Amino acid sequence: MEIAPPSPGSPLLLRVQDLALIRGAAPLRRPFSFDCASAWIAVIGGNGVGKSTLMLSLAGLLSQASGRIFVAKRSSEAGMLLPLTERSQKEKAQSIAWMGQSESINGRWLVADLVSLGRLPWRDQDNSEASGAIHASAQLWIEALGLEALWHRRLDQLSGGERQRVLIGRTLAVDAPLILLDEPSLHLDPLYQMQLSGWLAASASRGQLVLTATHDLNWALSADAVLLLSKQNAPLLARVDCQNLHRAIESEMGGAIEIRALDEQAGRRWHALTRRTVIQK
Amino acid sequence: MADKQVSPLHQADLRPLLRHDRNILFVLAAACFALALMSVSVGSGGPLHQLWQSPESMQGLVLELRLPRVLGCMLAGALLGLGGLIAQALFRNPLADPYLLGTASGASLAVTMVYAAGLGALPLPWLMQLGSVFAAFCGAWLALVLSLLLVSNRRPGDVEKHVSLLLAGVVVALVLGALSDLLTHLRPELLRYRLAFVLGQTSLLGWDAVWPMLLALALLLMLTRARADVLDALILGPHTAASLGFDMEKEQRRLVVMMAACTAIVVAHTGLIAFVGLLAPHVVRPFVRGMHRSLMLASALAGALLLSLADLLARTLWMPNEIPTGLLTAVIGGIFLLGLLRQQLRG
Repeated sequence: MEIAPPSPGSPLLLRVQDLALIRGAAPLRRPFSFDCASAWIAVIGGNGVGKSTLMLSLAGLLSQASGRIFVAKRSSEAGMLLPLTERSQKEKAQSIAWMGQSESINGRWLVADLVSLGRLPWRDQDNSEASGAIHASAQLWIEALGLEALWHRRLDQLSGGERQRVLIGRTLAVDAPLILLDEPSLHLDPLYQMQLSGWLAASASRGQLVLTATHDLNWALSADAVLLLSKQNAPLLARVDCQNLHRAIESEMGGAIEIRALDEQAGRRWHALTRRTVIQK
Repeated sequence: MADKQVSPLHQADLRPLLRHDRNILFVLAAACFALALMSVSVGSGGPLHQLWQSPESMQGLVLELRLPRVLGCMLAGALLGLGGLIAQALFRNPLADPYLLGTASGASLAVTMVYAAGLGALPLPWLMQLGSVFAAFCGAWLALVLSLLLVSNRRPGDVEKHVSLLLAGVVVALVLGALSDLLTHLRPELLRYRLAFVLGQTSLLGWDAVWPMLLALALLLMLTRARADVLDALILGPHTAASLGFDMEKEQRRLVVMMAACTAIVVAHTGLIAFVGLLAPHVVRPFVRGMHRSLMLASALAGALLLSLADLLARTLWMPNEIPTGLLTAVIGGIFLLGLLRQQLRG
């Protein structure tokens, strides 16, 4: 089934054609398709539906049962999509940045060294002038994640939230047009959740497509669009304002939440409110 | 303000850290040199200044026996330290040592078979011609090949292969160990030789051991330097390493072969020296940055230091008798590990 892209007019960065995953909920194991341009898309769904599996498949790290995935190259060739299977390891690494859930790390690594691992896909090219442009934009996410204070700290001395920010920083350092983050808001303070949302909200203007798999519905509702993975229905990709999407989310969550519009000035438009259930005596 | 900040994207700002690493390497190298001098000067033949006077004993004792032995220990220790670093990065386990994947058992079985052939227990006279050194070398490699074959039919692109590789190694080690046990059960006289091999000794290191180990060390250091990026990427897990542009199947195979190379060449000449490969990386990690570019040289130097120290003690603690060096590394290693454990429990 075809789903409309979230931001018509801008060049496509990801095209998924008849993709069927090898594990997950039944609807995901049947072929589905969608296209995405640059945006921040939150991937949500119940536990075990296949969010992580989808992220792994999109990153080319897990084989899929069927279908093809097309990813854009660097923005210099905007609009050019190439199938994932025809990309070399290096091209894939430069086009897609992926972060898994809470990876544990052995050894006494410095934050600066760990974040710089994100530049590995560019290790043969970092001496060219292109690297100057990359460094300029990095300052934005470095500030959003509050990494300046952490550069010389050792990873094993950091708290869970600080470590999460470092790992996100490692992923953003790749500076890829497609960024896949699995549960990035885990352990983060509300301040950093907000700052990260702020950086993610500017993805469209930067020409990047970011997919964040998350179970935090409220955080997901700050995105540009939502990809809802359902246990019974086909995946639904729609802009965050779409009323059909809201009803679909509410029914997927079994009526436990209700999506309402919030005060625009509070910085967020949609909020998922939990319905109190009263136990009848 | 942006200029003053240290950002990982501006490598120039990391200069003070690089200088610190280089200082540590210098200290380690100086310690190795000092230890080498000390080791050559002492021994059951008498101290160096006495031997200096007589040219025959200088040549015979120092040049033919002590010097190659000391150099051999440094080289063997360096190889073990390097192998241990690769093992710990590859298997993402701080307790990994380069003897994983059955190489130790393979070498042990091969040596036992050579002695069995010598005693007539095995109808394979050509084994005696091979000699125990070459046999141990081949045995280690054959065990590795077996482990790799056991996992070769996995689905391609399966990034979790290293877990199944570990299990395959355990299986190979158990089976080959059982075969060695069978041989020693049939001919209990073999036990002495097998024990000597399993304990590990540095007393047989001569110039014929030094040259191959020197070549091997130079080659493996270069190869590890070329693969330092993969070792770094691996700390984030095999999936992230793959996403950073590495063909994990190929890289894992390469690293496994490099690790086995470090082990095989040492085991052939010294038997199974315990703990040096496991400990050397841990000794240097608190002082050197996590990046393997810095860590590999430091780990090799630390391994050289550890084994040379153990060898010195082995020769001098109970003069004129010699304790098998492997016993000492086991004792020193055990104490070190205890210290590490206590440190972990405390903080």
